Amino acid sequence: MIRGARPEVPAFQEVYETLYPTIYRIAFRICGNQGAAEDLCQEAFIKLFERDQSLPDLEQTKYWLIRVVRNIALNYEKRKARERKAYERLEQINPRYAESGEAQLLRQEDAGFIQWALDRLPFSLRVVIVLKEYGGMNYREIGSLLGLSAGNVKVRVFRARKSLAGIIKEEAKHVP
Amino acid sequence: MCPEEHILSAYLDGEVEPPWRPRIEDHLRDCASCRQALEEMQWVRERMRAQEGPDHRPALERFRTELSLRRGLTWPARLGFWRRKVSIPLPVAVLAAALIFLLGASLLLLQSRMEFRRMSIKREPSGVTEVHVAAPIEDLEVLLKALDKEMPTREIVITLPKDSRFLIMGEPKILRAADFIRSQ
Repeated sequence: MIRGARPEVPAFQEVYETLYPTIYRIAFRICGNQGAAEDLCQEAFIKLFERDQSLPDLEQTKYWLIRVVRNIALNYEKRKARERKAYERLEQINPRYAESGEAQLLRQEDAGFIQWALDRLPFSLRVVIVLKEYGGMNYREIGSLLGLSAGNVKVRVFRARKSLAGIIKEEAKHVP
Repeated sequence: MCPEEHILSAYLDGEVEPPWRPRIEDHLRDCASCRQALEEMQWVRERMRAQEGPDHRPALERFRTELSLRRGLTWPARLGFWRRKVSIPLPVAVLAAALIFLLGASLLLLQSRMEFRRMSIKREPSGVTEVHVAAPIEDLEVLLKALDKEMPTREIVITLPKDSRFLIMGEPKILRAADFIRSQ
C-alpha cells in the first residue's frame, strides 16, 4: 500500500491518529468491552495497513474501517453468545452464579448501565443505533455502509430506541 | 390520525422531509400520547449521549508502539507547545493585532500620566490657597515632568519625608534662572 504518494491520499499515520478515537468509540459501543474494542481496532487498522489499494480520502477510509469493525464484531458477538449460553447453563446448575439484587442496583447506578442495556439489543439494531448516536452518521450514510435502505435504517433506529426504553424500564422494576 | 412512531423517531433525528415537519409539530401540540412517545425516545437518546465511553488514548498508544516495533512504522515527531502551528483567519488576526496595539498604547499612556490624589485645601487669611496633594513617587524626574505639565504657573513646594537619605552624585552646577529657562 502506498499512502501519501498523492497529496490528497492521507498517510497511514495520519489516518490512524485521526480515526482511531471514532473507530474505538464505535467498536466499544458495539461489543461492550474495552479489551475486545482494542482488539477490533487493531485488527481493522492492520487490515488497512496491509491493503493493496489506498482509499481516496479520510471519509471513505472511515467508512471502510467501520465496515471492517462491524464484520469482526459480528464474529465476536457469535462467540460471546455461545459463552453466554454456557454461563446461563451454569446458573441453572449452581444458583450462586445468579446475579443478586444488590449487583443489579449497582449496575443501575453504574456509568456503564447504558452499555449494559445496549448489549441486550440484537446485533442488527445495536450496530445501527451505535452508528447513529456515537458515529454521528445520518440514515443514508448508515444505509450505504451496511447495505440497507435509508427507510430500513429509520425503522431499525426506532426499534432500537423502543427496545432500549423497554430494557431500562424493566431493569428499574427489578431494583429494590 | 397519529403518525407512526418510527416517523417520530426520524423527526427526533431531523430526518423527516421538510413538508412533513410542520404537520408533525402541529400534531405534537395537540396529541399528548405522541408527545410522550417522542419524549421517551429523546430520553433514551440523552442517556446514551450523556455516558462517556472509556478513554481511547492508552489503547491508541499501545498499538502505535506495536506498529513501530513490529511493522517498522515511523511517526512524525510531535511538535512541542512552542513549535506548534495554529491557523487563524486573516480578519481575526488583523483584529487581534489591532486590539493588542490599542491595549499596549493605552497602557503606555496610563503609565506616562502620574496620578495625583488631592488631600486637603487650606485657605490662608492672606488670600493664598494651599493645596496639599500626595502622589506615589518612584522617580523624581517623572514627578518633576508631571508637575510641570499639570501646574506650570503655580509655585510648588515639595516636602520630602524627614528620614529621606540622598546621595550626592556628580558635581553641583549653579545656573542663573534665565539661563536655566533658556536651556529648557
